[in-house]
Amino acid sequence: MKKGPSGPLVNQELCGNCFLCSEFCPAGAVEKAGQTKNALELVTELLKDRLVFEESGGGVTFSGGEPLMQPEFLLEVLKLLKQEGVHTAIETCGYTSWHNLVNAAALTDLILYDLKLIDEDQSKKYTGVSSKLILSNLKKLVSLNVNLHVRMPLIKGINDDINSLEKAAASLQEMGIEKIELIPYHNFGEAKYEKIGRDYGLKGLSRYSDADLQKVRIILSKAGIMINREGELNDYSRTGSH
Amino acid sequence: MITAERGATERVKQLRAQSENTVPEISLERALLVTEVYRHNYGKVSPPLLRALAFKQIMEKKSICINDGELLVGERGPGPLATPTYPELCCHSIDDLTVISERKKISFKVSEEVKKAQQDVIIPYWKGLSMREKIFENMSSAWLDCYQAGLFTEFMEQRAPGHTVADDKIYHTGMLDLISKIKAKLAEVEKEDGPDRSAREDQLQAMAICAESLIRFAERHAELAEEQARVEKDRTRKAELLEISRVCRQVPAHAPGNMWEALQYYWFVHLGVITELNTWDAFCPGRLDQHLEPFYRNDLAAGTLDREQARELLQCFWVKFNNQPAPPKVGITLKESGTYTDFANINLGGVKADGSDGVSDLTYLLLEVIDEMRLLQPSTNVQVSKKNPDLFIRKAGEVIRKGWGQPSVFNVEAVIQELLTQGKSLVDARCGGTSGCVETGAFGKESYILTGYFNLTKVLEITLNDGVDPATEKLIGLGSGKEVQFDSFDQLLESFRSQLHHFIEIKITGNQVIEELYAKNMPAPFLSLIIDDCLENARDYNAGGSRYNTNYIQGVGIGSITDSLAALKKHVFEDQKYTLPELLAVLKNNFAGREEVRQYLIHKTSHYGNDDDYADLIMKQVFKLYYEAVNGRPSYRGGIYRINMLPTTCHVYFGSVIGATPDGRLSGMPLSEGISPVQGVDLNGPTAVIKSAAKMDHLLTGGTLLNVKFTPQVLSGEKGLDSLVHLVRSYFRMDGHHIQFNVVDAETLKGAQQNPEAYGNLIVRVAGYSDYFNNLSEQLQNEIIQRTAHESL
Repeated sequence: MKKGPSGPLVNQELCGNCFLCSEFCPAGAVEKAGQTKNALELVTELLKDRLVFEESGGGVTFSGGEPLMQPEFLLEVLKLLKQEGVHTAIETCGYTSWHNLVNAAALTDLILYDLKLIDEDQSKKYTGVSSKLILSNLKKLVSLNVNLHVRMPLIKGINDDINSLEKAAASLQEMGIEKIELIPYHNFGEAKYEKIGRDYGLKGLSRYSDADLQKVRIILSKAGIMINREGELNDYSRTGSH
Repeated sequence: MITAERGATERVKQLRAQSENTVPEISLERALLVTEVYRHNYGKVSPPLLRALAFKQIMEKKSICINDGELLVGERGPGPLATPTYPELCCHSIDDLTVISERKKISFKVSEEVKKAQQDVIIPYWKGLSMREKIFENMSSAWLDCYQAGLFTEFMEQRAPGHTVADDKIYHTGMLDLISKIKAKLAEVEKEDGPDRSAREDQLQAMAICAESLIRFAERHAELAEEQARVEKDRTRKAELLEISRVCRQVPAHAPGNMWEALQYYWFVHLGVITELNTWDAFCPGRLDQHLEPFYRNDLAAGTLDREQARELLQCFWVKFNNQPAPPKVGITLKESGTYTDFANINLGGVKADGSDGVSDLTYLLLEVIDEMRLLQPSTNVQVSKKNPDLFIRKAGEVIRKGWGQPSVFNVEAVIQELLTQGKSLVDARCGGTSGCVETGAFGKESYILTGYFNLTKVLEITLNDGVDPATEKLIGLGSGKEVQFDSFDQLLESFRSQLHHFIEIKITGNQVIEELYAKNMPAPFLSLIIDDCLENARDYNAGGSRYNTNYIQGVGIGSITDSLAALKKHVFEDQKYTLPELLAVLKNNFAGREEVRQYLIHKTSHYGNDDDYADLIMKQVFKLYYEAVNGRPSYRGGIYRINMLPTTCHVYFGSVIGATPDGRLSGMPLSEGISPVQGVDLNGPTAVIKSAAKMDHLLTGGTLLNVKFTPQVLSGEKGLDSLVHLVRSYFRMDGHHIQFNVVDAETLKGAQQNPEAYGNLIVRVAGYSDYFNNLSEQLQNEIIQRTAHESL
């Protein structure tokens, strides 16, 4: 381990993830993020904020990574929170078995479905997986009549050209989806990637200005897709309660 | 300093500019008038009569003024910001006056004439007679050692008890009505045959003299207004002067009949209280919106006033407060309260006497007024009840997020429960509120005196040094200064408990003597007119005449002591990473050459403010020990001792007398303030902060103070206001007493960029998303700094 420009650098190839360094480092420069908890322990922790959820009309959102990568655990936690009357949401990319998704849908109050790329080739190129499963899951969810918010992350030069957007709009309409939220790319993760010594693949990619975003909104609106703008803003309590 | 013009009308702009641009100056007029009265009457009449004669002399003889364009009249000194001294309380030396005029902050202009009169007249008469000197003469050597070591401060060494607030009485009672009541009471007392009959008669006579004097003071203003009207060329102004004259003949002699009269009446009473003595926290109209609302409603209905005229009157009222800076403080009193602010803290909203929602259109008008005026004084707060609409918090939030520091936010249900716990009636509790910084009181009925700050962290330092204060090297606590050994953390806490009781005992023993000195030598017959039941009891405010009497000792540094104890518990007693002597040696050397130990203590310890029970339960233990050491002890004048948790600026002074502490704090650095976490260690967001803070049993206190920092963007837009409402409502549902939002500016963010350690808790809003400032890239940080500079104020 040696010191880099903004903190310690860890040689990831040699690191065995024992995290002894984090125990010994007096300055707390290395931190082991995340803890191992069972479902009951996690729910106990989450319920500590119950009063705050009640006041704000909020609840618990499972985001990621991808929460459906741990389906059994997620279902167990959702079930316990449902028993406690806490509002839950899951944020998923949709790349999971229908079995997992439908079980989760039965236990949660809201599904935030992030649809990145509809085009098969593009999807394979940028996410490494086919979009077929993602789209078929989405279609089935729509027919289930669950509380569903479809969201489209926008990444400059990758999925925000007029062609991609019009195609996406057509596919959405075909599935009976009339309204989506946009999640414009931001680079807050860049500093975090640096901290864990990983390359940031989108280094230098600029964030969306209001004008950029307005262009996308107009293209989608013309193609018949309504934009729900509420989802573009998150309040500060997200950093506190999730 | 020339400030931007603020105010709804040209008149207000001019008056406000005068208030902002006039340099505070010392006036000896009051001191000379009081000295004259004492010279002729001291020892010849009883103390209440002596004080009443002094009050009469000032009200009849002091120079008065009517400033250009003003509608509400009366200044404490000869003009705006001319500030009197109170040699009967604190007789400044010539050196004091030099310091007061030359210091960089909180200075007052002192003319050569003032210095000469102080030298020739004031000092020769008052030397040895002032309360300050009497207090220090009468304190034990143990008390003096503790005072010098910075264990506690003493509120009454330069200023008088006060710490009380007006209720609605004056708005339906003229001074003439009070005089009639006094006469009736006198007739009763004359028939008594107790040993204190003549003292009681004197007290009532003194109160009557004060009531008459205030009426005379108002008449003098009426006469001056008439004089000015005679020569005034401008017809509008002439009419205003004649109206001023009419108002000053109506009040305070009679109850007010409209909003103008109500405001002028309060203002005369305010001047009376702060002229009679230099009371702590000046004085305050309390629930101003509720008191004025009936007048406002009637005036609007009668068509004699519209909303804009009401706004102008209120803005004139605001200027009046700002014209009276806190009289000059010196020494430790300046350190504990380093500000011109005199803590008039107006309450808005809350509930009415019958428990119903107290928010009205006047509440909203007042919120607009405070934001338009943006003056240091008076301070304002919103009293938030579950019965008030969210709109009330949102409107307050619109002002708060502008970042100039007002209003603060209080929990009505908590305040009421605190008062009920202390034995107040439900109606008195509902009509109470908070004053000063955060202090709970039954307005118009309670004397709730703050007696001094108490340095909790210093007690720990002395515990770890077996009774010796490392700074003065004196043995002031229990023990003999040998190396301490504790078998367990509980044993350490037990030792802390014993030391705590020892120091509280010294503090309260001193307080009792001081209280007796005030009760016997420095009655406040004018204030006694305003606070129930001094008249009915024929007993002075300073001798326990009020319906409720409470004494507070304010605990400081709960965050610092909690984190220090958490570090000791974890690293010495549980993990045994360090032995106690080893760690104490490192602290003694202020971590010199052992920065890694300091880093380890900071980063490997649970800190209060993160909703982590490890630290938070220690906070609860310390709180309980402090509560048990103080609460319920009787005071000299028949009141009860209680605790509250607030610092003003004392956490800086208290930190300056403490060496390095086990939480990694370096020697001399400030302690944590109020019940806020140690600066920069709360890393789990505002929800975690309020949850940690709410683990303290606020309802057992008479006030706690919690500060939360935000940048303006976090609170921007409707979403920002939603968040504010949720945070406030959540904290209050957990019985939190008070929360204030410190909206940071671009300069603070630049500081955070240079010194990230100290700002680990700073959350900024980026773009529809918030993150810790430290987590952002430098480029993004710069962007936020630019935006903040642009958006704030």
